[in-house]
Amino acid sequence: MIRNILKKIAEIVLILVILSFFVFLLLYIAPGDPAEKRLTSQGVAITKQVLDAERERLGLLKPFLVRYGEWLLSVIRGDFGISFKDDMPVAPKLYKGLLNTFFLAFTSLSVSLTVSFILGVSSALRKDSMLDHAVRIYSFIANSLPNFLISVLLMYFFCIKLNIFPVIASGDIQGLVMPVLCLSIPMTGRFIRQIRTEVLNQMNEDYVMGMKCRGVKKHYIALNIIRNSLGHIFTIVAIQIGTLMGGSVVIEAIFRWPGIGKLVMDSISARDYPVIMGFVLIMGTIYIVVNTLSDMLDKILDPRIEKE
Amino acid sequence: MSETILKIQDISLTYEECPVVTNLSLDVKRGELLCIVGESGSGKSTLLRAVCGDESVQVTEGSIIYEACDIVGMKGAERQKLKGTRIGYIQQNPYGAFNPLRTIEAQFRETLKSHGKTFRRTDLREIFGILELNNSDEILRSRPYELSGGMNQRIAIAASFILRPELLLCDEITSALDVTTAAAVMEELLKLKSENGTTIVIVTHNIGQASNIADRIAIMYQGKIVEFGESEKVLMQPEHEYTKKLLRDVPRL
Repeated sequence: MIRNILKKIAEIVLILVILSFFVFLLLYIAPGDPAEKRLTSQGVAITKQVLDAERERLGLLKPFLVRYGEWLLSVIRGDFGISFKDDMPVAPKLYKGLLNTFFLAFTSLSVSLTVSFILGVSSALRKDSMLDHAVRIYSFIANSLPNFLISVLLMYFFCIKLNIFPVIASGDIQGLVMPVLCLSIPMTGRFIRQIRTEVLNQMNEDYVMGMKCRGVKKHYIALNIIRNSLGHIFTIVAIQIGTLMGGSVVIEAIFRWPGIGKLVMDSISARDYPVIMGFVLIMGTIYIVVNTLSDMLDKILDPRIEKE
Repeated sequence: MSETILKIQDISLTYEECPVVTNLSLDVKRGELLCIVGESGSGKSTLLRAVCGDESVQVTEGSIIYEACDIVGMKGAERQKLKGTRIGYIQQNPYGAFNPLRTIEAQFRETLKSHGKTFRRTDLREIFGILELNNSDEILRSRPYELSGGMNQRIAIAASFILRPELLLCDEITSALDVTTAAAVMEELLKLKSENGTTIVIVTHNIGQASNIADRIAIMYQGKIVEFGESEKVLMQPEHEYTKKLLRDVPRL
């Protein structure tokens, strides 16, 4: 067990080093000169001398691998460098936004998972009932609509017509409702369908027939089905984490939620490489860690995977 | 032994919308051991599953009367009450009886609790011992996927035995067992029948096995009963060509 955990940690470290290298490489070969961009934004007249001095100051003249190595070492120490845009350290900026983004993402995930679990399991256990049909129609519609469209529709009805929630999310609980709804609705569409399918698959397994034939009570059978579906449900949630983080950036921009979304959008347009690299690396780390945890949980829930 | 416990009347069955059994009638007397013999695909397992109440088998015509009550039209909850203690069923697939991911003990507890019975290790040890399942504590801690097919089959039989059903339906239950264990299981079925008066219906393709244990034998061929009667009569004076062929094909040492 300990050996497996150490092996997993080594795998995560290796994947993160590869990820960091590609993040650094992609931004290195991306068009545009950050030094020039920075000087222009400050209103400095650009000459070759000024530009070279700025490049030297930002460390852009060093060889690629040296720059990468220096950046990686400082990242390991928790230092993501200095923002090209305003000379402020990147890490505090990222952490502040990330906390708000995590809060939004975690709330959305909790809401959608709870709703999807209840509706998905009930729909499967009452297959072909009115409830099942209604849930399937909802799931189809919710899954088909992109969250930016949902956000515009919800904003129109709840913020403008009914005036219940603020258009601009201020970071408080009231401001949280609309972004959470926009992120949760499409997610429930996907989750419900996947949970329903998995529960139906389990219901067709021989052991369910075996339990029914022994006269085992319905609630025990349902608990066995749910228990066996959990591994699959955790996997789909882990896969969804990446989409959720990406989706929350867009929703944050629409509702002005003080998360990392606005910071990232601004950094991309300003070619603020240290911020972008820090963001991608943190998001990648979250995605990899969550998926590794999901794999480990899957093996605990279904020990046959480990045996195979 | 004359009272009828189960009466199947003019029944037609479909499985996944394919007709499997047509216009079949059969009666089972209380306390008897009836063997239904036939080749694969003859519909014998489907017939047993219909009696057991498997929802994947549709009864398109006819009735199944258990203890003077037609169970075909019975509602789910009412039908469910019959399962386990009134009508027991042991399926062919040795891995099919239990949830592969939960311990045997947890599943025995759920089964017994569902029928208002208490889980007692001593009772289980006794039944496990009869079925040559040694080291019962280790078995109870195991999950089905950790045990062999034969062991799973014997545990499934134990789960049925412990509920002491009035009517026990056995679908090819010895197919995953070695000859010695199969013989032991058959012996225990006979003991269950004689000591508790349990009525047993066994589905098998092995007419040799049926000849050793059955009070009556029904021969099934292409979804119909082609011959049915006292086992001696069916074995000694077969009338249908298929029965004669089955008897000719019994391997001899």
